Amino acid sequence: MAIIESTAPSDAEREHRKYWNGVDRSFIPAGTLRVPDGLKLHSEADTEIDPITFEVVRHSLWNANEEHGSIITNLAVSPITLETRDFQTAIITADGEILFFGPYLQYLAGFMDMVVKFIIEQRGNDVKPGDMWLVNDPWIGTAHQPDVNLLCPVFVGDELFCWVANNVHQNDIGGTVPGSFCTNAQDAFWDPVSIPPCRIVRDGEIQRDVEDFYRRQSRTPVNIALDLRACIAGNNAARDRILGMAKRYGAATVKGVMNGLLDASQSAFTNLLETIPDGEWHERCYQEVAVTGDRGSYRIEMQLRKEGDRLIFANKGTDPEVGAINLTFGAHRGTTLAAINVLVLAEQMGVIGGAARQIDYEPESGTITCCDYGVAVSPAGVYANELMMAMANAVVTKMLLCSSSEAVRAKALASTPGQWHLHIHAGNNQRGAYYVGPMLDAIIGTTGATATADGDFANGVWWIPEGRGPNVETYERDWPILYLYRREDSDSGGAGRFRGGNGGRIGYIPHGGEMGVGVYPAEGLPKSPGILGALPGSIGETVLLQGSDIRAQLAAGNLPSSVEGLTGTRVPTQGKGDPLLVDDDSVMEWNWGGSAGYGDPLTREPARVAADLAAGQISAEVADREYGVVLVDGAVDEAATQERRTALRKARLAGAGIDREPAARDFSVADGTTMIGADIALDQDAGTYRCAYCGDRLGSLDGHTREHVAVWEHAVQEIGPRFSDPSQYIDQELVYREILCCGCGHRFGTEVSRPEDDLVVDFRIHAS
Amino acid sequence: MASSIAPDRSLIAAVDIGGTFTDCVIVDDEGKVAYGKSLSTPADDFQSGFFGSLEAAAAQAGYPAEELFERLTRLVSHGSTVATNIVVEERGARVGVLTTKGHEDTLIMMRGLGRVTGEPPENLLRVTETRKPTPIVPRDRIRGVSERVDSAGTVVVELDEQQLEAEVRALVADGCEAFAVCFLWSIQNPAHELRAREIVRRVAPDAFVTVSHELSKSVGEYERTVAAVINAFVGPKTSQYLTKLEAQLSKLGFGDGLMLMQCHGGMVPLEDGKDRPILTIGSGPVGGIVGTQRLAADLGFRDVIATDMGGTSFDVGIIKDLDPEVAEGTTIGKYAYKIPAVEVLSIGAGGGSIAWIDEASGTLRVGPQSASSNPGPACYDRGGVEPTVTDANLVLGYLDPKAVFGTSGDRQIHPRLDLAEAAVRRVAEPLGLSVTDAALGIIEIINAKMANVLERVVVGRGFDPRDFAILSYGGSGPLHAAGYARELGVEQVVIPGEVASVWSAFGIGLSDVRYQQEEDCQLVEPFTSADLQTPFEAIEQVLREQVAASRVGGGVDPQLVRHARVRYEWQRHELEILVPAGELGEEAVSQLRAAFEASYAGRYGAAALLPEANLEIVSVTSEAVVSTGVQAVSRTAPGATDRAPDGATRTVHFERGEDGVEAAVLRSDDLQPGQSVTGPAVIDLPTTGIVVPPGTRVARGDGGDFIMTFGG
Repeated sequence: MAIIESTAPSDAEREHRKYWNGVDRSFIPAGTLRVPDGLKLHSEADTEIDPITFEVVRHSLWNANEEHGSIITNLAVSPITLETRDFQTAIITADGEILFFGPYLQYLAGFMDMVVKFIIEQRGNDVKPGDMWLVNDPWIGTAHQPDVNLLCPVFVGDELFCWVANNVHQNDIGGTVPGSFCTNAQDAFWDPVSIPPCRIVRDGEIQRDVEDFYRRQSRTPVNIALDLRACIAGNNAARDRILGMAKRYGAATVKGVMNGLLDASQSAFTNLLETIPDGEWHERCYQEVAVTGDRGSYRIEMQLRKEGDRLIFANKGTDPEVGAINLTFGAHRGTTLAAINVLVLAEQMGVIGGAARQIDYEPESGTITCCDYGVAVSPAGVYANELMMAMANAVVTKMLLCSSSEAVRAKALASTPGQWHLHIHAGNNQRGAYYVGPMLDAIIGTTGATATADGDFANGVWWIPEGRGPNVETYERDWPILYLYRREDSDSGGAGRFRGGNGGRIGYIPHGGEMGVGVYPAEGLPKSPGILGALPGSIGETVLLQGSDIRAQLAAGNLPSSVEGLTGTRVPTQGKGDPLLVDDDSVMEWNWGGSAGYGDPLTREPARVAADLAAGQISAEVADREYGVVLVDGAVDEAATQERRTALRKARLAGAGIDREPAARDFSVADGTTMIGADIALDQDAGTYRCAYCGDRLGSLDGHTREHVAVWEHAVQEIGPRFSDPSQYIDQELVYREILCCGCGHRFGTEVSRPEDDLVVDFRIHAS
Repeated sequence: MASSIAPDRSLIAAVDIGGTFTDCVIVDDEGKVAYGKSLSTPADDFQSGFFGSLEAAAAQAGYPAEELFERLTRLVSHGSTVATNIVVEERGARVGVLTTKGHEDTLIMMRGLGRVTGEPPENLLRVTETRKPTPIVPRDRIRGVSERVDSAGTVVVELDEQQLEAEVRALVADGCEAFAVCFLWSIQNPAHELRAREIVRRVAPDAFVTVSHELSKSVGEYERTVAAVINAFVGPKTSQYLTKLEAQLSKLGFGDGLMLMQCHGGMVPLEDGKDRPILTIGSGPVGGIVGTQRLAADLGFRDVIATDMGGTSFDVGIIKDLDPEVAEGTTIGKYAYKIPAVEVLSIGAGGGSIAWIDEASGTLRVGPQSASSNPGPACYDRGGVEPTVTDANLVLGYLDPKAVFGTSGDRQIHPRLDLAEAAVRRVAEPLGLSVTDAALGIIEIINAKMANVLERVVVGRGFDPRDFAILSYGGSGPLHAAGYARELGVEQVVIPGEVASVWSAFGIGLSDVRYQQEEDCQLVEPFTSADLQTPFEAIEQVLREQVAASRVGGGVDPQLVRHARVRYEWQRHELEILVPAGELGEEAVSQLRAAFEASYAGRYGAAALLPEANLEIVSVTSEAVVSTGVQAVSRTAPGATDRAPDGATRTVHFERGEDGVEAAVLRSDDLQPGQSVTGPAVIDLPTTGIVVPPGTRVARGDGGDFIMTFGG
């Protein structure tokens, strides 16, 4: 529960408020909530509620939030809202804790509560029944400007009882690029307008002046007007439902259930944390190209610490804010809470506020992942948020793998793509109407591997559980395009003991209208880290073929299944580059990335590799090079496979400068030994981490798992067939590292890094 | 009360094959009803259950079974369970899929929804515990064919017939016995699908072939592919079952053809429905909605929520202005498709729902896990130990402790109160509650969950539940109706007479013959009335021919009912708007807008309207209705009822923390039309009972229905 203070602030609090003020820097609520005199918060709550009434009220609150979501999906028009479920509905307590959060886009979890606190503290005397507040200022709390919050205070009598709120992605809210992901934005003034909390609904009526101002920002004003009405209708329904409950069961009872649910979520979280030793987990990735025309690479860091019953997320070592690849604190926090909400606390059905009480942040301001006011953030929904999502996914997964509970370890999941791969085109459709068309095929998705199972192609995106992939016909009906193919992209899932799910590949042509492509994937660096030696998921790329013979091919009855074999000129594409100009003879191909794998691929059961190859999910090249499986007429040759795998381990060691035969993999781990995955044994007697295969020492228990490892550095494009030479996009050198057991050549990690950067410290457990 | 059906009457019969029971209802031409029940018999293709139910109904009506077939003028059935079981048990035909080259993965991708489809909300976030299903057709039996049509119906790439034939031959060689053909935009130009069917029929004359555009005219290739694949998957076995049934019927002297109930709420002659068995999926519950619609009209209600609570699921349908709401899509198992259907939404709440304690909050929860029929509730004494809703009903005295479930032999169940109490104690003790308080809690929670679902369904469509009456049927419905109706603020609940236990069959028996045509269109304002007229004329021409050619169509000029699916441009959700029949005048366009705005404002409030937004007509449908004129004067039957001993009471619990009360026990004949009882009372009905809480009044209507109203 937030501490509501009326005493004078301490110097530290005063300092915090001055610094994290939502004006110069991101807003971060102080530990205490200061409510102005003109606003009364309802606080009367029953503490003794029988377990039956509790459940009836719990289900009704959950239901009110679901109903809110149904209304938005029925009435909204933004395809991003409808298909990727890029929206969220929430019930938030009077003092700003998230009670219920819907099964929609999860990273929106991280700021709606903060916005409530901001409004209370900065606008509290104006918070009135019947009003709704619109906010899309990323420094106060949203992921980027197109994600617009609409918050509705719910009053019982003259007391603020709780809030209902939604955040809905708008198809276009202005800025330099149609669709409002402004990849060329030099600063916040190229981005769409950032609107601090303003009352767009007063006493139940839309304020015409405010709405006119809001509509004026958009290339598609009618669309955002309809979406606004959808959001108002959703809030109205949820508010009425909660007021009905307060009347029926008593406001104090409903409030008591809200408190009880948050306490239960908190204790479920701390109970789970008890199974995990204190420690630190770390991830690092690089974002290439900060803005159109840039050729740099930028380091993003995420550290997760567990200390007793608290988690601390930090971004130490992240590069300074730059170009248009930044995100604010709210978005940053959102990605971490999304990982907790789904990967850790799925049973709580979206009650995230209790867990959030146990989580602290140590952000360094002025960095890419906690930028100060004034820099561009609008493309965050494609780049920065997704990368943070993948990184939060990875650090939380590493932490879960250290649990003593099998059920908790089973929640560990390798990351999905760290960018949102899509094309956004705009122009005039076949009916002559102006349109903005985001192709959201990536929501068809892919899942990462777990410690016991492969990921799956087309298995949705875990952090948007209800997202739905588009039908080809739905897009072709509204936009002037024609799909040539859309299918599983082989070799795109990260190789591993358990393989990451593949992504998809799409070919399409303009058809019957006029269009240009403003946003498209052109990535040089992987961003979905492999776990415990597996490979990352693939990158996203775009091929543009101009002056092709596609029309002649189609007329001749040939429907191509790839751009290979078509004539025409390949136009080089650049990450966050200028819009692509397309005409009738253009062909475009793009892909959505695969997910990361789990464990060293040389430990994958050979029969699984044979099955993958037969199903076309991997190529013969990968079966041989990554998995070391030798097949004769489709069947596994066990002896030759053993030999090939030993040779590959030897080659790895040689690459790391160790020129000898790999050690025998015959170490037997004593029963009862604490393990990290199946790969690292914690030898308490010797005080060391050991390779579970050959017994070689990896590091001391008071240090970490990468103190004594071999490192093979080679080129990024050598990760696999779905990676390319990053020098086409960036000028700095980056290397691909394989982190190996010095004894047997077992692979414990893979990473892309600047040559001068230290190794990522995967696991640092503070043995008690 | 109804007397026996007179011997010289012509009869119609309807049979509903369910998972456990096969139900039959007979209606004579004076509207009198009789019914029978028999165990379903999947082992012999459901045949003995089918005939058993007819015999039981004939016996209730009071004459020998052989006479029945001579008097029958119409027999309606549905293969719903037959087709549904084939899908659920994954024992359908070996299907080959032919689709547009480059889009072979459409069925595999499942729009990315394979993991969450069909899962209860409790599982949505459980990413590592829930998985995508194994594909219903493996990837190597899905073949891409070179062909392409665009969204306007223009051919972009000609169909490569040679390649298609080669693929068909390869699939036949691989053992395929059924084919599903789904090409992109076949709804705009079906030529390639039709040609593909010709080729399949030539190459594999015995194979069952489905082309997608004949099942659905909706935009969206995934749902259309699923529809085609499921139709092909169930086709051969369903055909076999129907052929067998027809042969047996004709042997028994039934001269007329069989009719099939369809999920769109009407029936069609067998010969017109045989190729589309998918339309029978879900048709049983839709029969229940049709019955509800008829009952609503008889009783003078316009807006009714139909609720069917059984052992494992709670099904809901909505009748608004006497018309059933149409489904946006249908889900079977993990698969979603979109064909014209009356909406029946289902959640996992029933008599078998299990109560448990949530460790984190220390509170009681009910469901979504179910003891289903195996092992069933603890009181069934079949190995179940977890407390279920049915156990709670028994503990509280809602269910007759001497009740017998099932029909005969070893399938009969005599519920045991001691086992029910022991089961409920498992949650009562840790929570510090008495067994009866815990049982009341279980009922309160399941009622609240059902009320919440109803609210979400009704409010989600923009309606106010308080404007509706509730109709309750199914094995567990009447036990809970008072509870969930009160939660919703509904004022009246109707529980049909004893026919309630065979309600779907009853509705099927009253159905009209219906043929439907739909046309996708992409009409965005501004458009003229002529633009609107054109697609209707095209489909109505087809409809008239269809009716004229059918067994029921001789000399009949069918009534045509038109609808347009309308939305604001760019929305993805439409409202169905009634369009006048015949030649449309210039005013038709403004009338359409006015009707859309009225419906939209009625549902979402006038503030949700945006007059400057363009309207878009997504599709038009026209339906030819040939009325059968069947009426039922009552929902009860002779000999179906009995009386409780005078002054019978039993202890029934209503309020937590209070002692039980001695409630009057009635059986249906204790309450004659015009009479009423005020709770506390229970009305024991065969296999279920009506719980009448204190202060609640139940009156018996003329048709034998029980009408519950709440005091205050």
